[in-house]
Amino acid sequence: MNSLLMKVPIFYRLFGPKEDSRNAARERLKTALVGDRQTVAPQLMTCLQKDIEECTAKYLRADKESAIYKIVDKDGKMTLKMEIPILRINRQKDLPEEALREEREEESIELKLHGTKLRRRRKKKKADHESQED
Amino acid sequence: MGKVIVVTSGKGGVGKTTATANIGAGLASQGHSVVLIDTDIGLRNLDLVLGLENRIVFDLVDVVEGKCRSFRQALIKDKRFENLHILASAQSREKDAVKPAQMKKLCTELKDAFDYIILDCPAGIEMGFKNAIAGADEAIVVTNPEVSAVRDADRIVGLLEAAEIDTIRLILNRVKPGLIQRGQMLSVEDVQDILSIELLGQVPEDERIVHSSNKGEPAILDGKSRAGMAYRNIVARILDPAVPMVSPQASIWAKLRRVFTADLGAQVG
Ligand SMILES: Nc1ncnc2c1ncn2[C@@H]1O[C@H](COP(=O)(O)OP(=O)(O)OP(=O)(O)O)[C@@H](O)[C@H]1O
Ligand SMILES: [Mg+2]
Repeated sequence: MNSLLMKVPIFYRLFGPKEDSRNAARERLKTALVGDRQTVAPQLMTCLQKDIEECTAKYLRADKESAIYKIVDKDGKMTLKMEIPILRINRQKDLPEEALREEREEESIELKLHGTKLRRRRKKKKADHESQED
Repeated sequence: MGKVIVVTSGKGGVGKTTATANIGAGLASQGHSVVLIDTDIGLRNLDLVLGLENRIVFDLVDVVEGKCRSFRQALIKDKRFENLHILASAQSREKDAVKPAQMKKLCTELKDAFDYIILDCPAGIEMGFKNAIAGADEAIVVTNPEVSAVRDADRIVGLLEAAEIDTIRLILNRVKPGLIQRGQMLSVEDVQDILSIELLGQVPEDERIVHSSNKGEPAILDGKSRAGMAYRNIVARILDPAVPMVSPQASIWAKLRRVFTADLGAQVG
């Protein structure tokens, strides 16, 4: 009886299963665009890695050779995955002021950025150049 | 000094020519002087959508090659809107008959004489695209709420930004509000979130668009056309960005029709 009712369009519309493709479209597009924008910027990962190395150097000495930087698909979400083995944490005198305020004991740092939105090159660059020259 | 706006998309058939014609007609009807240029060499279309196909004497290639005295000789004046002019594309030439530098020069000349120069860009990212964006100050990216169209739009936005075109706005065309409600189509928010560019307007799917093209009259003149209404809003927002955007609503008939005409093939008994 129930399935018979479902043959009537209006009942099917109102009570039938909802097909959702909008979310699939959204997630698949985001994933595709991460790939596209990376292809368009072949040096993206190299630059990103360099910047992160510079940044981590303020806190620790990393084993750069064995570090891993990857964009991976994690449960359908594009994820930046980094694994940076640490050789040693910097001595007190080589740490930024703020880092000393609170004591922390961390042997490894795991950074996970859920970045489905990659920022595009903006025209700001010009302004940056000018200010650097000053 | 006028403004050069390129209407582009990446993917073909998403509604660039329709958008160009309607925006042009809309701006002209508001008293602005407008030139529309069909830059799709070999695939002339804009003239037909505007019903001006029988009046072409000179085309874009003739102008850049200096075959006519000045661009003025090649411009077709639309009789319905006295401020609207079109420069048709060449039908029998190769895509590389025009160079970006020549387009840039032409745009600069036109800017002295008109308020708006709107370029209907061909699909793709090759020569035709490069020509069309060479002289552009701003861009309107047209896309449909559909994965491949959005992906191509993203690529186009990247290329426009690389070409230092800073003002890039989006028109989402062929929106079906009912489908979005039922989770079967990307919404304008989804598309905007993915592309992260400013939204100029949304145009609903509208059968009357075909009717308008058949007659060679832009939908903006059609009081019954919901797409025409959307284009009137878009034109108002081009002239004054403070004008709020109108979102298409599912018409009551479309809602009813959907309820009564379910796709039987999709049903599980
Ligand atoms: N809002 C709309 N509702 C229904 N049909 C539409 C709508 N917009 C455009 N169309 C139809 O879609 C088709 C393609 O439109 P149009 O020629 O403007 O696209 P285009 O992007 O210029 O294509 P091309 O890449 O081939 O130049 C046309 O048949 C047009 O009538
Ligand atoms: Mg076209």
